[in-house]
Amino acid sequence: MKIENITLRGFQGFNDKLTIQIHPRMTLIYAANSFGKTSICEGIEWLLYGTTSRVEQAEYMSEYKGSYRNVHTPDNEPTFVEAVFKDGGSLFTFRGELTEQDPFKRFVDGIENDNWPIVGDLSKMPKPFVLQHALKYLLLVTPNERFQGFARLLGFDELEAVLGNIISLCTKPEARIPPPVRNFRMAVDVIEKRLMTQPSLTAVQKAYKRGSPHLDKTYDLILQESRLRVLPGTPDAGLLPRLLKIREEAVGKVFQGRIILERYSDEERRRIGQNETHLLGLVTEELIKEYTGLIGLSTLQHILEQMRLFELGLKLLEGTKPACPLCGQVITPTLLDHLHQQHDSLQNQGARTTALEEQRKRIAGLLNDLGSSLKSVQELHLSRISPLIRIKQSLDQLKAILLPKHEVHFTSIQQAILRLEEKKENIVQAYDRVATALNKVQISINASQEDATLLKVLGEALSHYVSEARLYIREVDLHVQPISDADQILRHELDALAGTQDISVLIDLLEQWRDIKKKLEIEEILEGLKDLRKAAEQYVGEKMRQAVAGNLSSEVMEWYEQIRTTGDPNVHFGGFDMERTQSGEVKARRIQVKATSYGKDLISAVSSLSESKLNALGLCLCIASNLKSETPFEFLVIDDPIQSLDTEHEAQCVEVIRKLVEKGKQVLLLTHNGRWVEQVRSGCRSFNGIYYEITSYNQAGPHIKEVAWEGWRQRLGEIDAILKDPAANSVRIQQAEEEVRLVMSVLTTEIYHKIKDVRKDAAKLNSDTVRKMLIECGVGDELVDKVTQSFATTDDAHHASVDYSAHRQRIHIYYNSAWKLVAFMKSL
Amino acid sequence: MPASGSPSRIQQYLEELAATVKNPVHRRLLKAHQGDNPIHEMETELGRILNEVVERSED
Repeated sequence: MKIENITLRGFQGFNDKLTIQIHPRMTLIYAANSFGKTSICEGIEWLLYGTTSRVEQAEYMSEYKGSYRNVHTPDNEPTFVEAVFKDGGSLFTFRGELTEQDPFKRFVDGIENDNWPIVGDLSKMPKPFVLQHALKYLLLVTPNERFQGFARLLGFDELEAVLGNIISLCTKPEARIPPPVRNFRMAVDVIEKRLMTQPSLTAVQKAYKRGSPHLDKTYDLILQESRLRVLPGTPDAGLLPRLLKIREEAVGKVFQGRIILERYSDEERRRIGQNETHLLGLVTEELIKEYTGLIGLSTLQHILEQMRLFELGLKLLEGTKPACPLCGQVITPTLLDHLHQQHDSLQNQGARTTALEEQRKRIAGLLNDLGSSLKSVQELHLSRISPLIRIKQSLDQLKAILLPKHEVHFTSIQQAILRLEEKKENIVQAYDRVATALNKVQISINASQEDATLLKVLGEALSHYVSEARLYIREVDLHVQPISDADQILRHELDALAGTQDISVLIDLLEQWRDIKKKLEIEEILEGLKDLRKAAEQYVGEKMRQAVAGNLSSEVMEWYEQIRTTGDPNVHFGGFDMERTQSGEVKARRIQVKATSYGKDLISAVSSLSESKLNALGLCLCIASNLKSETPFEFLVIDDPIQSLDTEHEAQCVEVIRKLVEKGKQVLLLTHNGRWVEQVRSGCRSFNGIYYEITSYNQAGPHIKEVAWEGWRQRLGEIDAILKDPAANSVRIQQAEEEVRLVMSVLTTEIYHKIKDVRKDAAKLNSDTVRKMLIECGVGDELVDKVTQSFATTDDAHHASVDYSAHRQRIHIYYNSAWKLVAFMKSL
Repeated sequence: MPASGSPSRIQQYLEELAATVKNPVHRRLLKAHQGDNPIHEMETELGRILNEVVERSED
């Protein structure tokens, strides 16, 4: 796709709306610095990408916040950039709009769209821009940044990101190990450290240090050392029990007991959690209602007795005369009906009593279960700290063993005992409070003296208990590690005092052998991540090498050759490669920019080439990557490419621009260098492009005016010079013929403008349009025929036919016709 | 920053890379490289692999 025109409004330096027509082949914009030139480039970039590379690559993005909007644009006016693109025969209007709510809104032909209708992923294609800072971000950067820049340029940014992810995983993986694995390693580390400090176990130490492959040998040595310390003939299976006994006996003479405070297991925590939920949810409004509902039960008991009496009486009446069997009173039918009604009524009330009885049983059962589960949880809590509390009686002895060397650990033990006893006291009191309240509720039920207050007191006691239990657990958790550390220290001190250090280490090795093997396996996995990183780096490095050392190098070199001058010192860019290690392996993130000096290799182009050559190289790199890649963009925006080039290279750069256009690129070239503009205008004259000058700048934005690329006089002068030059070859003569057509088009537009006051684009004229315009302007038929004949050797796209050949005499005739047209124009 | 973009192209890179490594742990880690946060996925897989070693009962 090519650009037809671009409109900017409220964007960067452009306050007022301004539309710039873009020539299908070449547009040149000249402006002094700060006249809005870069705003045009960045406007197109922002339109396509919603951002600009200057902002993206900024070290501090905040500095660029709000920089897209022109500060003078009225609040009610939007900031937008709009461009008409031509793709094949179709025109599309892309509009990017900046709003307060949305930093970038896209519209295609006036309809809001989430994406531009462009095939492929824009972020994966080279941007069609050659910008001033390209050099900086490709060459004069750290090796890692250069690698990232090239990866982006070559469409390998995903590959680079994958490598980054793998490196991130493989670098210091210890930080990412899950806590259970970390604790597991630490526990085995302690055994390892103790082993390494035992002078009598050097053989085991040496074997152990050799790692996983020597595990069997290490284990044999452990058994061998163990055998030396027990009765001869002890079987291998009996070594560990025997060592344990020897140690126990020896240490027992110094101190008996251990300092233990076990952490609540996950299963225990789950059970406690369930119990808490049960306790806190027990005393509900519903239970209180059910409980107080039992109050009527004693009255109903009396009714039950009455009902049973009625049942008995009615049974006695069956099969007898209608008279009372006790007093003989005659039972009239009316009286009998009354008795039956009474009985039915009592039966109904009896059913209610049975339901209440069931309710009472259920509540009583609930309270009994509560008592049992509470008791069980309370035992769990108290048993947790009882081994530690028992040590309290031996504190003096512990003090003598641990002080002064291990005062910290002794203090930890003291504090743990003190605090845990306090918490124990609290939880015991809370438990007693629950038990008392529970008992009162149970008694009230048995005595049919239900009282809602009792149940509420029970609820409060349960809540208090749960709260104390949580504090208790937290306190236990706080002391588990310090007590475990103190226990380890105590064991070591006891072993030292009892002379069982080596036996203790052997016991640990035998007891923990499976864990030790697992730990070594873990180490092997973690160590092996270096190999994964290396494999990833080699893979990516090789991919990059293939890309940079192959086509990219030759394509960049081709453009670089265009820019290099013959008078240069012979110190030049020599292609790209990947740096290698001494053993020849590719370094993944090191792009090597090679250079040669009079045929000899230099270490690096970056440190050897002049700034001018490096700048030229950066320019070539951008151009090559744009031409190399599959991209929907047929245009290239080039912003001040000669900034640090010397005069000779500037001239060469014109040739590069020319070649780009000839290769089919639509070039939009912007520069601040007036001298170079003249070179470009002269060197690219045959494209007959559009030339703009930004002549001033004020609050409204830049003032831009179109200037003829080159006047008809200069063009006719050039034709005359070629025709008079006997050495002019066919290429030069062809160039003269192209110039003739351009002169005819320019003169036609000038005449049309004078007569019709309408400015037409000379670049868009062909034989038919020229004929029509000249006839409209009253030019005679004979001259019109002669003028339009000059278009005969090319088609409308200015392509020569297959059998075309430059012809000096024919061009001379055209040249004379052009002067006749000049004469007509001057007569107006 | 984590890789995002064309899953098929990333997948192709990972498969090519996996073909160059022999260690089954490394292959598992490369296979875990997926989703919006591939580093996290690979770290989780590494944690899983290490946990499997710790919790393995038969030995």
